[in-house]
Amino acid sequence: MSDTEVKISGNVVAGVDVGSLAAKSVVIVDGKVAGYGLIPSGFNSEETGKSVLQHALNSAGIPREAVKYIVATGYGRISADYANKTVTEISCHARGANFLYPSVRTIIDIGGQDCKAIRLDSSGNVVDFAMNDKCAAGTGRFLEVMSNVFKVKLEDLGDLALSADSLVPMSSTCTVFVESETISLIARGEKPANIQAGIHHAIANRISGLFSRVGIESDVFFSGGVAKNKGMRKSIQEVLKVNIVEPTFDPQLTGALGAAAIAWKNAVREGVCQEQQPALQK
Amino acid sequence: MVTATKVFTYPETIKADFLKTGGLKFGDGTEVSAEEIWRFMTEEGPRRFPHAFDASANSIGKLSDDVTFFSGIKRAYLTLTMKDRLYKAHDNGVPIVMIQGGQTLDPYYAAGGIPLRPGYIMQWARDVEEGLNLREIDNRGLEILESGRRKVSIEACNQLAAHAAVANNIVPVDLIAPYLCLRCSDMSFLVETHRHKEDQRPKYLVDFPINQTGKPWTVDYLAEQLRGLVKEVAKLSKKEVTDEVLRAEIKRQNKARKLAQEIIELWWSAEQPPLNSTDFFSIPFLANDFVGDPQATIQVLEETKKEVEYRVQNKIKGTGVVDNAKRVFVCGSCVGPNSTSVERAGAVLVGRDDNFSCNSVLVKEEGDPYRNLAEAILAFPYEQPTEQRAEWVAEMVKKSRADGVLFMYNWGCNYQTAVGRLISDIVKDKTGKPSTFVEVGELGRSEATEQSENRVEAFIEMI
Amino acid sequence: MSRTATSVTKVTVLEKIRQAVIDRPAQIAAAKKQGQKVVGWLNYFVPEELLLALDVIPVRVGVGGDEQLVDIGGRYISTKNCVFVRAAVGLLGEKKDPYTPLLDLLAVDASCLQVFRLAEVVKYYFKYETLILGVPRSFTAPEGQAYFRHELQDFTAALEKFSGRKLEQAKLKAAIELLAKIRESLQYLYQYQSQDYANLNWRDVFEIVHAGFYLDRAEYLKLLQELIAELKELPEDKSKIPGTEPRVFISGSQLSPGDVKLINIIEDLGGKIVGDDLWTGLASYLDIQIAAPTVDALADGYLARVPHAALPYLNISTDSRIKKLKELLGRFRAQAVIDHTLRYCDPYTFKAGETKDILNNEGFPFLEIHTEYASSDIEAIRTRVEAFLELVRTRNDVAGGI
Repeated sequence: MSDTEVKISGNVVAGVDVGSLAAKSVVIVDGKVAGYGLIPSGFNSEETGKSVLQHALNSAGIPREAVKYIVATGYGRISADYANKTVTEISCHARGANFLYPSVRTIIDIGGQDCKAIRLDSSGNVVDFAMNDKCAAGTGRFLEVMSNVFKVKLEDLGDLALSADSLVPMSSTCTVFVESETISLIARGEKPANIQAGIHHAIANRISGLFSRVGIESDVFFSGGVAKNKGMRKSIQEVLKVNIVEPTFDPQLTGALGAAAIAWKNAVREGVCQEQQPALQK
Repeated sequence: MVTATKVFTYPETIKADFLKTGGLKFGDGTEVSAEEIWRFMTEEGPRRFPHAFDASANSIGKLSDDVTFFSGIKRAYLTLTMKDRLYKAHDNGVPIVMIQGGQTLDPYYAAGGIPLRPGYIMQWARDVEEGLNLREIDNRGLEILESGRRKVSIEACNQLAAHAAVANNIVPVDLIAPYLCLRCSDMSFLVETHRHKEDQRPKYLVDFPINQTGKPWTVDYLAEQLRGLVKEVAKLSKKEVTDEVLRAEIKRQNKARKLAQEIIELWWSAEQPPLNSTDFFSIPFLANDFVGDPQATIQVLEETKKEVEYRVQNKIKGTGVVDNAKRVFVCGSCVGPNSTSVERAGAVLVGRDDNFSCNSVLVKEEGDPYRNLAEAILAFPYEQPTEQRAEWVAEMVKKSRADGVLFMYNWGCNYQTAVGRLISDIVKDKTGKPSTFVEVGELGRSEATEQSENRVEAFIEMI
Repeated sequence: MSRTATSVTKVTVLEKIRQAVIDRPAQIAAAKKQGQKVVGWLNYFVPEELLLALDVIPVRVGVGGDEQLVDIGGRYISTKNCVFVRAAVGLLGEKKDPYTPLLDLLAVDASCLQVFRLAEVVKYYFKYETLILGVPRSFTAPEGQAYFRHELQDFTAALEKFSGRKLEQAKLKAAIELLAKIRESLQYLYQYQSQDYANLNWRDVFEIVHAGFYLDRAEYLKLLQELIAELKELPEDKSKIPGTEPRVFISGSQLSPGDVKLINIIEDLGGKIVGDDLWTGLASYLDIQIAAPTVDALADGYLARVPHAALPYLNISTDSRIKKLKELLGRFRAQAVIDHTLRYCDPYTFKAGETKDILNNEGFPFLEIHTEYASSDIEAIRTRVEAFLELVRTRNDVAGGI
């Protein structure tokens, strides 16, 4: 990922994405990804932001002073005095996905507290988007609740769902409904894998509701922490009847990457960084 | 697959007696023998609709255990064969019309159509593909509902599923034309959703003028709306609908309404419930929805009445009802409790304000049939301003000797929940009976319904 | 957080209107002592012309944004009802605001059926005298129009009995003229605020509309006319640079007095609201043509205007509500639409998707905000609005985009 040759040019920018569960940062040097960091979010989002930025800089071997422009995004962006500019995670996810895969026109993002459906154009500009309402059904937090109910590690939930031999129909209206339904199903002796498959399907249904509003166009990219859950990928592909591009870069970093890409654009526009010849953007 | 499915069967020991009851005659002139009904219910039915014969799960649409109540077997036959009759009728140019519960059906049948409420549309839609077990039809139903939610909103009530089944052409519906009763505020908006992004089929709404008491112009308005409705249906059926035709249909349906009233009164008069909750609650449905065929359904009601009379005289109790069962009256929107679990908890269902309402008013048979229908509809007790409706519910609670009132409503129902407390308070005030509220979140599923069942059972324990 | 509640230039009549609102409850209380009666009304179809002609004082009931009232109301009506309805039940039950203790009668039309239920609930629990005006759902059918005429005649008779007065044609004529002038003035103000360099912004005008829920209508018209005269005299406000803020139109159901959550967020994030079609905003004042000083003409005029979304209309291509919305977007030079719906407000919520499709096709970005009064979703709404404004800025190259 990092390229030691280009680090010294001094054209360094960074994106910082402080989310509800995790903080992410990506460092770009001369238009290319040079390093990244990923840590759990702390109580103080300002400190969390600075800390994850330092992680990313350390991974690239770049001193803090070298950074010319920082864009902050995510929930923590409202307290980010270290940043030159703040941009919403919606615009950042679009830019980040576009940076990696210019053919992407639709993004599904499932974060800790919300999920988003984003449509973008070939330049990575958001054309339309929708977010879930305040209910937790269809979010990373919900899967966390379920992992507690099943006493399974969060990262193993998807594999559990994949091993199902049938799908238990579940409400998709409300987390509380699903939680108590789950408990009664366990009491009845239903297979945990089948219940999990039902839950994943219910979440996918909630998310598909967002796409009815914004439409869906290939290629489709799945970003955010939950994108690592294979069961969720499968359920979404089934419900939305689309193919999701295989990620080659940690999908949880997409927002931070987009923030860094916006930082790069602004830094070049404001003249603090110089675009290299030929353009190095991937 | 659901593990260890127990298949429900009718015992051979009852066959000879069942065959003596004779067959059924249908509106299109065809007939079916008792022999054929028996064959269907023991061979073809279980093969084509395994979910209906699943005895292991405590499902809502479960067949009644009361196998010696032969009209119940015929009712089940009508329900399971509804799909075949509807396809046949539709192929013969009979328009299928989507309506809602709690309204009169006379104008639709008179005009040569077959009206179907959302519940029957969903039953049809789930059974398009055959051979499915309970879990599979639940998933089919859920898939249809979710497609509706995607288009409209997750805040719409359960009825949305039927609209989605129509919108997606899962079942062939030719006209969407319900009455807007006072029961539901969602229906008009759901009909409206069909105006966008789907095949355009005719739509018509019959308005229900609220606060109708003592206002003759509400009759004028509604009568005119009914004329418009008949024209809409007749446009499709190409049938000439004279006032005489409508009057004849009113007479026929009055017969069903009268039969339902008489059976209910008989059931209430009995010391021990002569039918279990499943069979008893099916009666107002038969008399008001007709499972797509009024003629056959009225015959089943007539036979039902005879059987109930016999059971009352001979003090025979419906199968599944415990001795001295607690009596529960159901109130609220288009959803009821699971009869089996109610009986397992030691109670029996004795009445329901929703679909007991539309059978409680007979339509005048002489004079302008449109005005007569309008007057009857405007007199439905369930559709009165809430304080009046609650007074009627209180009367019903007394008449049915209920021990408690269960107010149930669907997720997304704004309009019945709004007056849930008001009705309960008035009923409690008039009768002294306790009540409880249950929101049903499972939305038409038949599996994993423990949540609301637990609440119902806890209430029964309390009373 | 910055608030752009008042414009830079001091508009003196705006201050006068604010003072008049503060003084109004005492004024009404005094009028009641003189024997005048007060009618609170809710929904969309109660013609104030009738109330004025019968010398009763009209007050438009309902507030927004108060979560405590929502909680109280939810105990009587249901938590499946929208927060406006719940809050109104709470308001009418608590009687702690300056107006509800003054009400002698509650008049409610049946356009939104949840509001009709509200009337049933407060009548039973809080002993309000209520009067219901039926509204036809088949509002374009001749029989629906005939029904509404009958309903309004019946409503008038009940009001006559209540007020102890007979409806006089001359008085009705005067009331019709007065309200026509008020509507005309408000439309002028809406047009005015959407211009560059205006001395009033949308929020000011929205506040002025709400002042009209309470003020003596004749006094209100005088103030509006005074205000318009002042605005015509004032030099343009050149402190603002046009084209630096995305021009946003608020569509949807309603924002009642006090429901400022979304407005604050849009303004804080640098959006410029340029118009609305809310039934607590401009929609109530549009296209009411009353052909004669009769009750029947009132009925016809009210029924023919832009329909409330709670009245179903089955042909989307001729839906006048949508047509009007498009016209307003052009009139106010809007660049984007934020559609505000309250949770469990079905008519507006169910229609949001199709409205979005139609406006997207016309080139307007469209953001759905579906919310309640609780503050718990402020951050989530901020994120949506912020991202939406980023989108509009980028799309229309407002101040260079992101």
